Amino acid sequence: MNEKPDPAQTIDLPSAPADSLDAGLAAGFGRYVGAPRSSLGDMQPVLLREAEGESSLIVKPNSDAMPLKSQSGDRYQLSGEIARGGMGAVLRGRDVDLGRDLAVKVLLEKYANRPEVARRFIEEAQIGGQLQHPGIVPVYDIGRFGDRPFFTMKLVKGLTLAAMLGQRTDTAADRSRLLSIALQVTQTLAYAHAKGVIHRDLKPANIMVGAFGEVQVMDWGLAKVLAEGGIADEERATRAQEQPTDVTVIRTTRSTGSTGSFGTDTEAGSLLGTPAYMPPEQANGDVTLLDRRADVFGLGAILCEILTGKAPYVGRSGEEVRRKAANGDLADANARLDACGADAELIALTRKCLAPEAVDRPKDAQAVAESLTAYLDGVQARLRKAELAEVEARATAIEEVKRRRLTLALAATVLAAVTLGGGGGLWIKSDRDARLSQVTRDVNEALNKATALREQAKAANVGSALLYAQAREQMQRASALVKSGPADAALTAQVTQLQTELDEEEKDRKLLSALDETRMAQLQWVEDMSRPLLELAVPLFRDALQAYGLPAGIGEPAAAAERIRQRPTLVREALLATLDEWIDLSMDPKYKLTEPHLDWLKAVAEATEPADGWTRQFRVVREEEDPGKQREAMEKLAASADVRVLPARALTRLAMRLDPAQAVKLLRRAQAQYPADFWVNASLANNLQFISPPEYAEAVRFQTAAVALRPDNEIAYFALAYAISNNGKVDEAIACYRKAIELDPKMVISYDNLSTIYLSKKDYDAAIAIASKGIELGSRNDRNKAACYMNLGSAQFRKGQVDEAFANLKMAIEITPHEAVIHTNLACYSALSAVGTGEVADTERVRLRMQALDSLRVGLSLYTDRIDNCRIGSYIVPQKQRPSFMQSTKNRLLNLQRDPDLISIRDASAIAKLPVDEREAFTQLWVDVAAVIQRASTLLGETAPQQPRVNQMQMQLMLANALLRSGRAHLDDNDAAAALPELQMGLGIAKREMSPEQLKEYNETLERCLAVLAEQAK
Amino acid sequence: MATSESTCWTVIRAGAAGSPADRDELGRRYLGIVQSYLSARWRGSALRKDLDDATQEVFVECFRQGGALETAGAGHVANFRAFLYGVVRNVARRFESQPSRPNALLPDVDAKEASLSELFERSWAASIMAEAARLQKSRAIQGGTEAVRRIELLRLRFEENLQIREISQRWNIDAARLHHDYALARQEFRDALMEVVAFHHPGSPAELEIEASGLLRALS
Repeated sequence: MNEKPDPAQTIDLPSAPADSLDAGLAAGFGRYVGAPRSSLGDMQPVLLREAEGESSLIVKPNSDAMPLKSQSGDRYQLSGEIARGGMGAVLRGRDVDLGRDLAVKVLLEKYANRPEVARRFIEEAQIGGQLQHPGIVPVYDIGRFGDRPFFTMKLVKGLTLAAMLGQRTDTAADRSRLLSIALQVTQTLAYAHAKGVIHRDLKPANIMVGAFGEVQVMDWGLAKVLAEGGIADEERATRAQEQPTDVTVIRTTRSTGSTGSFGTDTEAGSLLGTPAYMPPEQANGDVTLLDRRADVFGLGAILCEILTGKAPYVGRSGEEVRRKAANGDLADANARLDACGADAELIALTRKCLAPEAVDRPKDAQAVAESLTAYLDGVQARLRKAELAEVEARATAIEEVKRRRLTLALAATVLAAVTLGGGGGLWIKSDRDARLSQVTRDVNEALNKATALREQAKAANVGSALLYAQAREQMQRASALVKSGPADAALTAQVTQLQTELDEEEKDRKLLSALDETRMAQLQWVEDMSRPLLELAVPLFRDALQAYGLPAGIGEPAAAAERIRQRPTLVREALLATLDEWIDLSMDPKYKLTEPHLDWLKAVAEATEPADGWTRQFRVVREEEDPGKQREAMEKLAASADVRVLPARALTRLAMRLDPAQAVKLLRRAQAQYPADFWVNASLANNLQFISPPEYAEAVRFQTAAVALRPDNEIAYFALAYAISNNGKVDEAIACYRKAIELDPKMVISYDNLSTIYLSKKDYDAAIAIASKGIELGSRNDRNKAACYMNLGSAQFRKGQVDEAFANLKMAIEITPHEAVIHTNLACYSALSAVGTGEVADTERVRLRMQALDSLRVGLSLYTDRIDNCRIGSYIVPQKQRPSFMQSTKNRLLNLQRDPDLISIRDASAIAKLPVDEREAFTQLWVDVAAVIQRASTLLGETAPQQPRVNQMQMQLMLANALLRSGRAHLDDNDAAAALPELQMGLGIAKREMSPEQLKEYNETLERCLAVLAEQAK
Repeated sequence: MATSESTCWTVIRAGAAGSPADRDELGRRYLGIVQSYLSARWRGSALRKDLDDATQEVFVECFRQGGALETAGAGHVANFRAFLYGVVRNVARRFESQPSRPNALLPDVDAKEASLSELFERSWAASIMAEAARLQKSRAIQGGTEAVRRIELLRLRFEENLQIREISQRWNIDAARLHHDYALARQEFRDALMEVVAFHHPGSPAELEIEASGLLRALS
């Protein structure tokens, strides 16, 4: 181990220059750790350097990419390197003939002899040269420096959009300007798409905004020419060239060539792009799926960063970002978008562009441009309307002044004779009073309306956002009025005060909404074990607090705590609960999270809670390391919890830590105190289904209450359907699942569960339709999609579509290889097919039986893993759910022992008829199944077996008996030759376990057999 | 299981001897590198669907009795990175040469071999840097608020690409002090890096310097 140097003395790195350590730091701390880089992938966008002055563009005056003077000739004066990628370098140059500065992109020396790289390089120039649009950097010239191709293009000076976004202190800042830049990018891409070109690497770093506001899309090095059908496949593009077309398309040496090496080019293209901004089809390298909608995703990604400050995919490592991109995991981006405070229309457009499935996105950049233009026009119209309202308010005030002035002027005429000296002052005063009076009336009216709307918003369960928006609108009117005319200082202060309060409440509302979404997402993850990773909540917590102005780790904890303490109870409790849940997840060893701000979070939570607070006691118990002691202490805490004092959220949080039976006790008391709390009702309903025996009917009752409190929530309906289904009311469950689907047509787990119900009803057509829809909607690695594949396969098998059924079951296994039930279903259908009537070759029957055997073995090993380690794949089942989880696993194994589909490979007499080499394998399998069931019973603490168990000895005896019967049958048929091996095998299997009577019977039969054989031999 | 005193060779030896914990440890350390190499090699080809199988095959090849890892563990190999590259490439070739593969779907691997080996080097280097960053972070958590803040400083600098000046404005602290913190954070990263390098490539301080410089060069 190296001795650690004193950091105070050695802060420089003599052995590694700063820029090379920077590369390591970027890989270690940057966004794209370990991202695969191909030769092209390293190519930096042209002039991405954030140049402020011309001289700063040059980064390497003596670059090795500079050609010799003899190669570059006299026309171009080259002054140094600006940027470099894996394939080429960008040099700064000057065209002496035309007297203009330009950028010269030249292929690196090491690729000079690589024709495929050179071809791609030239293609970039050709695409750039043929796309003529103000938004695309024009290519001027193409040529060679010796054996290296180069091309020249306009030298762009300005900032990248990435740099502009990075300079913002607030994501809401400068939004309209940034959106107009996004619109220009979209229009540029619409032009490229019309020309049959897709960019494939859209991101803020590739958008250059010039000093005069001109917007240019850079780096067309990854661009592709589309085939006629719109797919990025050069081979088809080549074929398309042969078809007459009335649209001008871009032609390149590659798209018109016939070298036969398209595969290489396509593949090279598919390597490229930037994971944080990539659509799933690109991240997965599905070149054949890339079309204009890949760029539409990139446009959505740019909008996402403008609105939320971050790319769609962010992660702690490049690997995580790549994984998210490949899976189309946009939960984080969608949560950020929902919390960004932008108009719903704009958020909807962004989300549509970011749809994981290409078919759900707008078809091309033109469609995006139209939507974005319509939105921006709408914003302009609203702004104009607001301006008019303000002008109108001012005009009204001025009219009032004029009116008062006239009245007072008449009065002044009368008074003038009497009080000439004081008349002017009186007029001015009266005029001011009148204006003041009018403004006061108007402002008061607005204030009253705003206050009423605010109160309605506070009381509303649903629609509070709209009411708040209306209240804020009234306050804007009031603000405009006090600014436009004379206003009483107290009234102005009142307006300012209410405005501030409404702003704060709006922030609170958004925070609560974001935290509620996070909580709801966790509920879904708990319901759906495919997304059990509660740690996914952490980025949502982080974003919610950041948006609230409480970025984790920034500022003194005491100040943050003080701010939290000043918020209303509801907000304070939500924040405290969030901090605690965040700390819980960060400290839970099973999630292996490294939370850099853990100390800060703890300090804030500590400083916020009063010294005698209940949460403090809760935290002390939480720190207890011994699980038994912790459970006991939690139960004690629950027993002493005063539900009249504790907030509902604290009670549900405590319930999460308890065994279902204890949780039910606590939540029943909580429900009596908080009958209108959604979470209390939903948690109670959930826990009632896990107690022994389960109380499904009651669960339905409380979940119905939860649905009534959140009638627009799909997860609430889903949970109700689940409870109803458990309660055995199939048709009602179907109606509820359908409602959940209506509320969220993309929630694949609903399709999974609904198709399962249809299967149980033997309505195979409905099951096929619903499961197919779930498959269509599910993302690539979605477990629910796999379940839909399984249900589809099962329904198809029952309908006699055997090949399709097997194919779909295998698709399910490919997605979730750790899901045991899919393997056992495959085994069932294989076993059934092996004994099926019709013309099935013996070899095929053997293959099917072997498939059944293999599948059962895999299924059994997965069930064993569940029993021994309480896990499914990498998901560790929470402690409180383990008993019911283990019980259900055991039940599934028991089902295997009695499943009629498996008779042909389970029943001893059937096994006895199998070829010799299969008998032992199947016998051993069922012995192993029985052993795992036995182990599960022991772990569950069952003293007596609930089901008849089969041990190895019994199984062997059963098999030996079956062989004896079979041997006798052969003897009766005078086929002693067939009887002999079976009888010998039976003896070999179970001789030691046989009773004397059994052994005698066996020996007699064997002797008879041998006698027959001897007779036949004579 | 790897400890602070272990090197990759102690883990390899234990893994070759059958220790499940050490096999897990090796898988954790090298899985990403193997996958990124194979996926780059096979991108765009039908072989990509075999990625998981091939990755599995690499580790099976390493762990099986008398397999590559046992050979390496016996001290026959000097450089584990080169050794692993060899195993991965051999497995990849084995998959590519399966007779059932239609040749038309195979990638033009030969043409890319040089860049693929560079990719492997870069993946390796990037994973070492990530490991160093993880080590630095875990130390920072034990080291207190200031150390954690230095981690955040590096994150802002290299993930969000902020200049020190911008960070000092954001945090409202003196830029000069932040520059000093930044230098300290870099030194901490370098310390962590040297430790990680020592794990993977045991040797004299001078050899470690050379190895670290090589890794940084691969990423530059």
